Amino acid sequence: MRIIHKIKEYQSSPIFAVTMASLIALAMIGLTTAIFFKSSAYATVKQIQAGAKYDPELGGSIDTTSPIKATDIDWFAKSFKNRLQSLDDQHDFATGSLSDQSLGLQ
Amino acid sequence: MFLKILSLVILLELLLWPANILAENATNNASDPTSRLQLALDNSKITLDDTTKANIVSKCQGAQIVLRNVQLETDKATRRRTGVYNSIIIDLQAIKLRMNRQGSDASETDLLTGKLQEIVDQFTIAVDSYGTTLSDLIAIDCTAQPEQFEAGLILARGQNLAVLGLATKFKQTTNNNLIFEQLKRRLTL
Repeated sequence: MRIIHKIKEYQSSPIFAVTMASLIALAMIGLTTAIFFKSSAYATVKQIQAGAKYDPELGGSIDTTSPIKATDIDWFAKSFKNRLQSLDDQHDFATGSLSDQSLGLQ
Repeated sequence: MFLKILSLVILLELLLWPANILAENATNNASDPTSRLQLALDNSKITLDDTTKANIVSKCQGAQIVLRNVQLETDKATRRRTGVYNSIIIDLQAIKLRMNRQGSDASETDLLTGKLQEIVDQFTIAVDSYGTTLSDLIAIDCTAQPEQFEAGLILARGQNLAVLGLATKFKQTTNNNLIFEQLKRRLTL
């Protein structure tokens, strides 16, 4: 009888209420975090982070203030061409890579 | 006391259950590889004779290994390409800002940036669809669904061509020297 009375007393104490509320809040935070890590939103964040890490231009400083001359524009035009020439379209997206022969389906 | 906590946990779980299901559905993108490839099969309307079907069933698992390599190479190439495309667009913006600062009209860069950005957007969508189809082809049980596998292959070949076309289009658009000549003329005005 005395023990039951003590338990009831404990249940009605503010410490018990705060502890319970904290536990529920922790459970909800944990669950929400787990749902976020499983969601596509998190996958998108990871993808953006990977992209930013890969592209040095995004992190580097780009000159947007100094005066520009005709030779600078020539340099940019040449640089664009060189950068694009480094990309081999036929190698990267070779149509033959999906042929029956390449896939061993013949 | 124990019962109270237990009922509270059960109540909480019941409340959060629908949220969990919603999150999972969002991750699954409302469609799965089998239904996407079934859709490809319905659209292509292909029918396979028994010999072709047997050939696919016996060799498709080897093809899936090759497709996995194709997917990895495509991912690598896409990341590199996106970086180069973005760096060109950023440099074009920088040219515009520098020209504007010295009072020169650089509206030609707006036109070129707009065109390039449009191609990059189309490229991103096309390469995403292509990647999804490759993933589906790798994930599907091709020995049980040879028609879907074949339809997926036809779809992937078309998507690969579209990606290649957009990559070529970006190159051709950037190699337009007229715009750069025009910009140089603006500087001397």
